[in-house]
Amino acid sequence: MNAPDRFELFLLDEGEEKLQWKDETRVPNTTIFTFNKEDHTLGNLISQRLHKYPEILFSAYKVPHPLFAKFELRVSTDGTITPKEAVIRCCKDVVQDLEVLSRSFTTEYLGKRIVHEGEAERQARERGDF
Amino acid sequence: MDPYDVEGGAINVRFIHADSNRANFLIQNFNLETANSLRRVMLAEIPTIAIDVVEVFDNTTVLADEFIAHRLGLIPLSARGVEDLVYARDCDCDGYCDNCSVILRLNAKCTSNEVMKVFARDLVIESHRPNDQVGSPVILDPEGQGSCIVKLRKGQSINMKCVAKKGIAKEHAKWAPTSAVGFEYDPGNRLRHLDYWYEDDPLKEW
Repeated sequence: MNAPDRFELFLLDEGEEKLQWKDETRVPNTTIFTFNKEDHTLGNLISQRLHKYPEILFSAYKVPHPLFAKFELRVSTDGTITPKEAVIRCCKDVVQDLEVLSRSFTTEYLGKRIVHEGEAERQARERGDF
Repeated sequence: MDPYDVEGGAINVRFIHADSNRANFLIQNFNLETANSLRRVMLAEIPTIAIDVVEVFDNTTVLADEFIAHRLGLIPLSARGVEDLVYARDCDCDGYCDNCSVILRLNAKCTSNEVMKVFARDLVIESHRPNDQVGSPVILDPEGQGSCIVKLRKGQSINMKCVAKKGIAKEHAKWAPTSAVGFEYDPGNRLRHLDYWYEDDPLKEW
């Protein structure tokens, strides 16, 4: 009776922005980003990816409440770049990695399929059903 | 094939097995978190097509309308070319149209003395669809009939118009494209990650 619609897990509400951020005043070079209508899929990806960069001092995400589809990402850098630039760079790197993976996957899959079809043809020939 | 043949640090995919409904592959020089996100997206966020709205014209079967509608929703429909279909909520039509949905018709009446089974193959595409494969029921069994929807006795009939729409599994599991995605990090344990890392010198870390 009180259950929210399932599409609210991924569709933005009226006037809701995908991303909001607030600078953290207590620690220098720190920003807390709030991603709306997103879940661990993106949160874990960005926060762990940021760990690979040497300029990042702190990177973590949390889902404040499991019933609401949003997460907060807290990023601290050492000052050489702003947290916002770090997140943008991280996202670009992820997209590039996925593009390389997509290309590699497509070529391998097509190759494998050709091999598979060739094998099937060869077996059919050996069995003698032309 | 040495698994540690890293090929200059480039992302690399090797297939162990691949056919039309199963694939087993190895990715090298890739991040664990990106692979996990890929797995999560494959389970929940790939758009497919499934029956969403059912208009019931006649149902004299032993199963209730909503029961049959639930079963119809779970029937797998071919999603090849589903990118050509628009999401029904984004379409400017009123309700549904040819651009955002595929209409299927289920029309059966039992006239013989035996029990008549209505299979997924009996769903007939009525609308004009963007390409000729999207929305066809998936028939994989050897007799070529698909899943059994309902059984009819003499005199019972069923007449329903089903509207199939594009969606993702986050909204309802009927739109899920994968049945299982298995994922293993470093099969064979060559990196020898046996224990969790623990902090032994705080000064070194911080």
